[in-house]
Amino acid sequence: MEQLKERIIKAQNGDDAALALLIHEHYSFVFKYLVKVTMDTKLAEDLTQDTMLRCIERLEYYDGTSAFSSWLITIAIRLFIDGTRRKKREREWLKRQGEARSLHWQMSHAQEDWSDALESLSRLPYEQRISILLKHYYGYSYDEIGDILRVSPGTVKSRVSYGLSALRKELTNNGT
Amino acid sequence: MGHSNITDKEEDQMLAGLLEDLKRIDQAVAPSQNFDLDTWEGIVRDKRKERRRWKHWETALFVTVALMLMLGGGWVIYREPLLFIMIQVITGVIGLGIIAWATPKLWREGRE
Repeated sequence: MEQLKERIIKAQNGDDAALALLIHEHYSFVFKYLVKVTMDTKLAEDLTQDTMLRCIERLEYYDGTSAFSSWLITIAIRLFIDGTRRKKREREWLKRQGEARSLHWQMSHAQEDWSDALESLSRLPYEQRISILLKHYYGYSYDEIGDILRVSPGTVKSRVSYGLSALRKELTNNGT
Repeated sequence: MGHSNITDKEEDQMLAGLLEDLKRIDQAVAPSQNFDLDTWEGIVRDKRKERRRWKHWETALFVTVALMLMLGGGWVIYREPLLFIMIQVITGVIGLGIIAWATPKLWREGRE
């Protein structure tokens, strides 16, 4: 932990090698997070690279109040949301169909099952999916998620609640 | 009871299953474009150089615009002293109006 802090300070003071190491070490974490958010490995890869470039540009503004990984996740989420908002609804729908299929294929390639729960999660609106992932998979509090998504903790709570409710409903309908 | 007639136990079970599935995603996927350390260092160096260059340009642009505004202002005062005086008077009147509007209570209290 102390080592990470030292490395961040060095990077903020202009040490290129320290920043390169930070990026290299966090790349996989950010990528895996984005795969679960986007359900698309290609998009996740692009967004991870954009996140790292943004990290290089904005590292001086990182104040250490949150974990470095949380700060990177915040950048990644904002890039994803900004990108998603720019797309038209129809195009997005088509893409989402393809996204889940691409990850589906990758999972079967790795001899892993694509469960009904994952299928249902991939169908949720991204706001609910991100909220559920951050709350239940990464263990962030409602306040922290609110800060990351720039919404109130109450909104996060309702997104998680609606998301879980929709998941449950869909899984019940599928007979699981 | 959770939401939509779902018991907490059912919801816990569903979540546990989902989290397991998500863990399997983590195991199944790996980034294919994470460069090696030297490459990242090169990217960081180039990006920072580019950023420094942009900051120089931003500063130069800011100073140029500020100088132009100052010169333009000076030119107006030189060429149109009447316009300048008018602007000063109008600004003064507006300023006094704002002060009068902001302190009506004090003024009334003083009168009483």
